[in-house]
Amino acid sequence: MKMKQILLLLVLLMPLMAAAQSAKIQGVITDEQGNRLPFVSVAEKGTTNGTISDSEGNFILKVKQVPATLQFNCVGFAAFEQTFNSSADKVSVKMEEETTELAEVQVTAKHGRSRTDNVIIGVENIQMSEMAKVPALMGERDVIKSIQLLPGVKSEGDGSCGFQVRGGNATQNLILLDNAAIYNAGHLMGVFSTFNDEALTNASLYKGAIPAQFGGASASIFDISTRSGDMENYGLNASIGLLSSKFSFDGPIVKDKASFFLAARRTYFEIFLKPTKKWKDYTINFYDVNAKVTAKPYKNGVINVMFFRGRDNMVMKDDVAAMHWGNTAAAFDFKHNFSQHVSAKTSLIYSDYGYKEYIDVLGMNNAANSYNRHHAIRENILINPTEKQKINVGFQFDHINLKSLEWTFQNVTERELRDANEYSAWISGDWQTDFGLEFSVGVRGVIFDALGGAPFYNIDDLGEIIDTLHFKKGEVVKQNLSIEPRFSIKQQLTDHQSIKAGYCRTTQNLQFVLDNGLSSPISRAMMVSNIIKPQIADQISAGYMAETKDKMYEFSLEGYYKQIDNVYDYKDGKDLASAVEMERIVLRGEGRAYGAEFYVKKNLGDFTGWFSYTLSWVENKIDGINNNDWYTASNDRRHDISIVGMYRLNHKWDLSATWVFTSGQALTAPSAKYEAVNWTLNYYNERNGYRAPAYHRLDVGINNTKERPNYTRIWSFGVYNLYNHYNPYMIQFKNDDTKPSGTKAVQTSLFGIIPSVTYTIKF
Amino acid sequence: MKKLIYTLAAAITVFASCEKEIDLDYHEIDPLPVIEGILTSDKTEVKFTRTRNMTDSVKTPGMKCESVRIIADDGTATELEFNSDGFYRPASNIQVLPGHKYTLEVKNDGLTYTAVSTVNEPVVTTEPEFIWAELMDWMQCWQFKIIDNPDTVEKYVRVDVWRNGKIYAWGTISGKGEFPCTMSLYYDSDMEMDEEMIVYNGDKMRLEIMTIDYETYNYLYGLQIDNMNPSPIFKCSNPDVTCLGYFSAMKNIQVYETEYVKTEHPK
Repeated sequence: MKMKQILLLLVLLMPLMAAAQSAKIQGVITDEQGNRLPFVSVAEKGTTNGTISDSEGNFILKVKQVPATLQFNCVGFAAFEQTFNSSADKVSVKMEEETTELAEVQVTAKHGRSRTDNVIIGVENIQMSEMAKVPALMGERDVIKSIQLLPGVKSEGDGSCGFQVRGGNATQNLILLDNAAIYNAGHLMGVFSTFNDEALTNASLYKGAIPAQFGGASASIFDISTRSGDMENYGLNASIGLLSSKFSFDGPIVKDKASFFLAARRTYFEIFLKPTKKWKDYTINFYDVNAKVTAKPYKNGVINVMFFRGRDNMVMKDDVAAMHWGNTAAAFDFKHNFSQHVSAKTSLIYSDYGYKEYIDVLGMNNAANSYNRHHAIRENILINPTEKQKINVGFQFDHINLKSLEWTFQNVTERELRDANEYSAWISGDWQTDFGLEFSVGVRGVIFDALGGAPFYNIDDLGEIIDTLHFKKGEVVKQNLSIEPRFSIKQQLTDHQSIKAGYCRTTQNLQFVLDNGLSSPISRAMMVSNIIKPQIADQISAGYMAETKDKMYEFSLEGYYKQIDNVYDYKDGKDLASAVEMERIVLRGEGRAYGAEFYVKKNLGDFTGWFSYTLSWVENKIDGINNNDWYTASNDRRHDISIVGMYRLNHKWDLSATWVFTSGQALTAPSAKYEAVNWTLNYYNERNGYRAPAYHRLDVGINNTKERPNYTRIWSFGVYNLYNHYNPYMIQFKNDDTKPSGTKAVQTSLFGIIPSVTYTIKF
Repeated sequence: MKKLIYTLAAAITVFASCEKEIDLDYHEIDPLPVIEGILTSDKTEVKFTRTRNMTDSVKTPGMKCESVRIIADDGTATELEFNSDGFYRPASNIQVLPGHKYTLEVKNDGLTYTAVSTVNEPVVTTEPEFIWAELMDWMQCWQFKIIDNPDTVEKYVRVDVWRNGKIYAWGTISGKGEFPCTMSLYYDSDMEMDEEMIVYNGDKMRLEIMTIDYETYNYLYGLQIDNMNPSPIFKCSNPDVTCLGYFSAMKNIQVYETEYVKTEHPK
């Protein structure tokens, strides 16, 4: 009954097109392990008629006549054809992983169609198989590093795994691993990402018109899906690298009914520290574990249980000082197909990011810790009334526990604890007309309740507490309602060209404030309170997408403008350790970002690759900072270029190279100096008024693959930063009155040239 | 906390990181007034200077202004006189009492600058001693303990370390009850470090401990962050004028002097 009511509501909300009379073919596309494959290109052979599978692998295609042959193309999977003699509504298409040269062809065919066909503007789909061909730091393939090569996405720089999307900083992205939020997704200060590529199937980055089922981030959503085990055969992969090794193991628990997948990775970085004098007493390592159990208890139901844990450890000998941080996430989801038109997924989600450090030397006994925990339940219903309409409706409830910081310094212990409930609901619909016009319309509503239990404050202009407010545990202290409209429109100009436009409002109730503009394991978090307001971003974007008729090349040009309300930054002279109460040390203002993104890609042939260029501006205005004037945001970089080339020499050897260039990061540098405290001190007249030197580097990689009857082995050789360019990580200013210049600006760089070698074996 | 992060970043890049000097075209601004004032029972000094350009290697000397005076919270005002070394000093010592507020007033070019400081009861400390940091045979520390009643309020302390008559390091610390205060000294070794920071046998070391008020502590803490300026302490009769510096009133400065004697790391 409820389903009927929902359907009725949707009918009222959205005009439905009359059902087509022609034959239609509908089904689901999976890989050999049963993982659903999104964004698979489905084309009617011999025609320009085609579609793309949705995020759940479902597709519907109206064919002009039967019998019809459909061609299925997906990155890293063998092309597949199937002929249908009549309409079919429960087609199950299983695609086999591609290990031959054909894979290169499939990659791009899918990508081009995805860009021109997808109604949503500003979506980047990442396939792990393509990622494997891009050279990586220290031989470790990395989904986060890979997306930084795409237009509109920038790296925070060396030493960070953060990425910046369309003028947002790294903490304005929400990374979801099977719907569980992951924070600070980097190991070893960003040398590696938190994600083991062996455990992932695909990922989508929403940087423009974010679909209504996603929220909680003012810049982007990065939605990552983990891999399920094979239901029929056992598989084992192992890789040994210079700094880390990993393995994955999967197979059936009950054949065709249930499977398991297990992947783990660990670094042995400390081995390289032992011979050094300075660091010999340090232990620095990380590990991560991914596990998943998939079961099909009955024909129309699938259950997945996912677990992830990643941990970084830095410990001084005898445990006298240490720092630990990492994520733990778990998700249980149950998907049921009610009919060929309706399916629902119920998810229970847990995620926990935590950090702690302590030092017990020289009589000091100081410690600090923080955490950010989510318990959530999510219901998502997908309805496909006709092949040209898709409806997504659902809700999510999150209970959030945040310890922004607790520290014990010099016998003084202070903490800031906050709890909240967040209620989200959404409805969206995709509507495809017969004349090439396609809409995606949605709305998301979010109620955020800041809950009592820990003290809240009234603060004066100087940041001093004038009142401490006490509320009962669970009592609503502050309620905030956000209505977030989402809209995307696409007009297909020809079979190979489309124009798109979109508008998106997103609200971020859990925010982070960055120190020196960079995210780190200790970045401070804060939630909406009686003082802190939610960050609200409104973005409009438009673009033109095209591919050549032979799909050899694809091209896109997108522009965007974003207005962000309630941007927070530290007050002058304050940092994350200035006070435990965040409201005392931050100021609120607004931001704006605008830019254009250009992307061209060669899809076919032995040589493939792409060129992406982003031109962008990001500015903030916060009363109390920079004389209350607009100032360049710390993540503003005018030009950003990525060039990626991959060449398949033969079936054994493939070569790749990546060159990246980014304008220098905005920098706060002094404009004068003076003497006080017996010292020469700097005076800073403007926030981010200078530029650091530009960032650029060239990476190259070579893979040698040998297929044996029972296994495949791959040697991967790489060189990171081939021409050994030292890029800026930190710039400090030192007075030197012995020099005529009077001041030294000293740049610290992290990585010079780094060679790597990795051996991988797959059974 | 940030030190640990930087340490980790440095450790990760033990084989790769590097430092180099870069060119930067500094923006020039009109000089701003700078006032530094210290009031104690046996030493009172005020210096009025201005900022200089980043490319100016000549320090700005103390400048003469219209008037400098210190006003106690009972209304007693003491005029300070300009000395040839650029400092303003009183003709005789000013009585400084814990719990009382003192105002520094400086007049120059028709503008009046004022700052208020509260005198706190000085902390009680142990004798400083040179100790080795555990596991780090390249860093020795000069450490003392603040011994305070745990029931008292939080204390704010500034520490200056001098070596052979030149400032070596300074810092601030806050805490409650009994807690250590540690200043790092870099000992000569084969580690890469700034030569100026290496301490040698026979160096004459001097430690100055100052119990300051919360406002001064906040200002000095902000200076140590060194990426933007802390909120000014001085108020100017023209609110559009920014005056840098601070005024710190305290009962006394606790001074310890010794000669550095090299010892071996206990390992």
